[in-house]
Amino acid sequence: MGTSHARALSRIPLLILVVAAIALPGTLAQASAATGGPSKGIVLNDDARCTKCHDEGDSPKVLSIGQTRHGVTRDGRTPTCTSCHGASDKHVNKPDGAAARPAPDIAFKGAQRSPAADQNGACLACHQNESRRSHWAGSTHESRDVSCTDCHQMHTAHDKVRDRKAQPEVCFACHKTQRAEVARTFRHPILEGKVACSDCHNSHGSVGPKLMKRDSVVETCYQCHAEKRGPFVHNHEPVNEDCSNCHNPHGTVADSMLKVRPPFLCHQCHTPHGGQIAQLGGQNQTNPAYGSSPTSPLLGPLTGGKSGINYTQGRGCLNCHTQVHGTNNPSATNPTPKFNLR
Amino acid sequence: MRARPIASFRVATLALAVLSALHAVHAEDDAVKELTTPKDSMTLGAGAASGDEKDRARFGMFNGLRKDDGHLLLDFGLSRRDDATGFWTQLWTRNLGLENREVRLVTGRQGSWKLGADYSEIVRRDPRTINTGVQGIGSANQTVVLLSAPGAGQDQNLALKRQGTTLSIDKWFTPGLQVEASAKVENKNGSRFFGKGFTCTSTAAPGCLAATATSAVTGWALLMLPEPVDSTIRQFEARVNMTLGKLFLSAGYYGNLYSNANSAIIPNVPGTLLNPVGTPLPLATGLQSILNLPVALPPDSESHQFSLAGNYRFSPSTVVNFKFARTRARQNETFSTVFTPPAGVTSLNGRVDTTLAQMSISARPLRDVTFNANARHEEKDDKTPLAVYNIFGVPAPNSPKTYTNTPLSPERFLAKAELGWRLPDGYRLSAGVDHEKLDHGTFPPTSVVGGLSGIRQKTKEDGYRIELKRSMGESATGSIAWVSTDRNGASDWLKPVSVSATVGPQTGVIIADPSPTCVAPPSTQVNPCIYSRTAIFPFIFMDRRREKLRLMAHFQPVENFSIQLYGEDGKDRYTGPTEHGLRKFAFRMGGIDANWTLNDTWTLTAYAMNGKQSVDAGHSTGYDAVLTDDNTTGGLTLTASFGPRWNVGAELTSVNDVLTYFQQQDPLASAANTRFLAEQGGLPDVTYRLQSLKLFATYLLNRQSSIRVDLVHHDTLFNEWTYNFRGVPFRYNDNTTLSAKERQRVNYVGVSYQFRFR
Repeated sequence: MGTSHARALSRIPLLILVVAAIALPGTLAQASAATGGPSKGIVLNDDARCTKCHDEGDSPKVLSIGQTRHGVTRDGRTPTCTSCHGASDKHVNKPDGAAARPAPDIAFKGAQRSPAADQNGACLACHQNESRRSHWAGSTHESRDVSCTDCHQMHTAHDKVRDRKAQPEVCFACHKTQRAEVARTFRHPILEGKVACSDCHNSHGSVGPKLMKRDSVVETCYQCHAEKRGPFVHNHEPVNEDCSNCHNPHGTVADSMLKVRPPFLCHQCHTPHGGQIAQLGGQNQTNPAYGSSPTSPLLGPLTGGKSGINYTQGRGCLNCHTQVHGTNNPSATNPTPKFNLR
Repeated sequence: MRARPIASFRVATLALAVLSALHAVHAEDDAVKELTTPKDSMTLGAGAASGDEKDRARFGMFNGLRKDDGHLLLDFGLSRRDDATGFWTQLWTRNLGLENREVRLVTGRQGSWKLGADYSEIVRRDPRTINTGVQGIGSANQTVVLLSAPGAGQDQNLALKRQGTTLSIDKWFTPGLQVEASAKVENKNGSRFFGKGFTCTSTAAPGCLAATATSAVTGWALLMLPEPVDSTIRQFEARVNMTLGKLFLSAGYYGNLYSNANSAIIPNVPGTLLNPVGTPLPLATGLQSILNLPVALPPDSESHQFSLAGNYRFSPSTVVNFKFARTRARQNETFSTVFTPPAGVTSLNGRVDTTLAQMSISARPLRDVTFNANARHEEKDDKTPLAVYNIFGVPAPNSPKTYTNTPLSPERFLAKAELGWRLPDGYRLSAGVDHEKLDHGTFPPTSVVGGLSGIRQKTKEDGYRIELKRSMGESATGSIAWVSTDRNGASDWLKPVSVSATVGPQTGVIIADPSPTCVAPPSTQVNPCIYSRTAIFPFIFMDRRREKLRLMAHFQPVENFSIQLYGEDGKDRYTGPTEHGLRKFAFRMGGIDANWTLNDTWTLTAYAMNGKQSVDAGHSTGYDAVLTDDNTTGGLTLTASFGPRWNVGAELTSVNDVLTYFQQQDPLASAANTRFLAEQGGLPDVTYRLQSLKLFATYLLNRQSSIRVDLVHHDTLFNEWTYNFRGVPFRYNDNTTLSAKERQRVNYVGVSYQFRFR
């Protein structure tokens, strides 16, 4: 061998080491992954097709999915990347002449986002046979092309919509009126995360109106307000029919989230008794000029209780008709509890 | 000589290469593990809010920051996962240092079983302070004490505490067979605002006499009596979920049981209370005994539902789903001895059976056509026995009239169908029809209606909706939707028989003649005329035309900026036999949202919207009312990251809500009302304003720990007349008053140390 050959041969071990230094991490990583299961990839089973290019530098950060339940490779039901995104051959092997790399077969965001039905099909392939999603097909959200990833984030340990405190922010992205209503003074503790949208609504479809979690508005409200259920000796039928006849559960500027202050709320159905217009104490009612006679002002020692003040201020009509949700008072004595007085 | 350096180089290179390779392997392993392994975290700190309880009344209604000036910030999240077995254990807490704390524990082998335990507390603190002499608040026996003057009593801040514990279990026996069950127990304790009142004279209590010019007495009284809410709600739910090929079935049970620690409030009212002008006087004859009558509290009750739900997939795009459920609600609490039920009746023995059947189909008959149809029938069968619970004391010489309770068995049928077409150029058209039939049930002939001019047994509603949407990729989407429905009576108006009638049937309802030209028969005959200028008919029975227009546009001209414009205009017009009652409800809303990622550092989201609701109603006391609620809400959120260590953010929320109560006399108005309204101007506006600014900053100390500072400025103004008008408090007849600061400003600071570990 000549000198040049000898020099070349002497460099072979160096070459091997350099190659090994480059190749070993992958080899050891594969060996390490193999201990977690026969097909364990870096994060999901069989993810090499994707993770050879995608890593935590991407947005969304793909590896964080490992922190979620989708990342439990031991659970044979969990997906690999292509379970959701499709085999995506053209995305993996960019066709010659293509100006840009085509999107994966199922893309969940971006300009080449797949139709909602295709996106949701990827999720429903595993999640359709669950009781909470039995009525997804045909539901308001499904028929309006809402996709699962419009609300859910997959590649993160913190999926906002599954965090009761963060959830409203997700829902308000579309439900703007409710965003304004929950900022009012009389409301459920939605902003504090103690009542979540999903406590009342099943966004995945339900039998009830407005995607109510239970079969009706009243059944949904009875989850926390079971005292209103009865049946009572004396029922108040609009209460049995729909709580939202009188209440706006997202928030109002009247006590008890009433849609309108009494007496105006009550007067939408009931003929007012007494001839007084709604009025407030301090409006000079004792002035004889306002009364039917100088000895009978709007407010005097002989004024009856159905004065304009007594059904306008305080609890309004409920000052006397206190049992507005119904009463279980069985006493067949005067005054009748039928009027929900006691 | 040349060989040594070469040899040296080779050894050094060899060592470096091996070390580099191994280091790279471990570094990458560590990095991957760091990114793919659930993290543990702990937060420890303290927070403090300015002002006192009254300053924080609205700010601290739910967040646990009203009562105490300072509090502990303590949260942690622990997550253990054995990747080899798929076994998880997660323990998570929120607000441990506050009275709205939560703890959640979940453990199990993923795909096999899961156990969960949740604990949650919340205290709802009434935003108003009550000044009262009432003794026994929180208990069933409450004694009313006449105060010498408003404000002379003790301050009471009512609070309602809920403590809920939930246990749940999920078990997958096979991929197609799952059982899920949960049990939740929620205890409620405390008091809520409540009361009682009565006026003499009244047809409902003939023995109660009014004040007269010759008898210096108090003829009516309103009392504040807080309701003790100590009670428990138990909920149980269990489902068996099965997948049988294309069929998914979920058979379930849901039970909801309510038990109340108290069955009545038993007032003890003094013989002297304030008269209408604030003079302490003895109560009118009969009034004290009426005010001392016990007030029934919600009885124990329970509801049990068995259901079968699921779906069948004829194809991936054709799915039928269904639900059949039977629910039995019972209420058979033994009547308290403080009441006087009909002879031989010890409980209502109430029972309502509800049957629900629902089926829908969702299909894609053509590639660009979708079809949805849904039908739902719900039927209630109120099996509560009748008993004479109802008496109307008609003045002599007529004898009191008695009636039974009024169990009703409503039925509701809903059907809708919708077609969707995907058209060229990104258009999508949807059109649907709706139909609803509601039968409120047959009115028991032994009963009587109170307080209503008329009712209907049946209504039906038909409507249609149409929506056109266009998507132009991600850059622009727009939609316009129109909804229109008509509700009409499907049966005659019914006239409740007057409780004071002395002729004809004295119970139940009769078919009414709603014509304004109806001529009343002689007084010895039943009068079917329902029309009278003062009559009001419940809006749930009235004819209604509903129209709604919705618009939405979304633009994203560049990837880092999007804007959304939206608007809605809706009207409900009601018509009944008279012009009184609810006539129109209108809603109009418009707004704009924007998201802007300025650069790698700054992101900005902002919104502003205005909504206006109005209710137009005619009232039989001679005035028309137009009530409006004009709400403007805006928000701005700014977040930024400076380098790898700093994250800061600001969130500004602004609400301006103005409620106006416009009243206008009509020809029925009395001269007194007309004068009063003209000079006093009716009711002033109610205004609610909120300005809230939240700032936060986090500083990353190292890979595992950070410091976070939160600053909040919360400024509310609530100018209302419910309990106070121009400094004149609304006064109960024992001088009890309620108050809240009109303007409340709170500053809050919280500092916490956050630690993440594995």
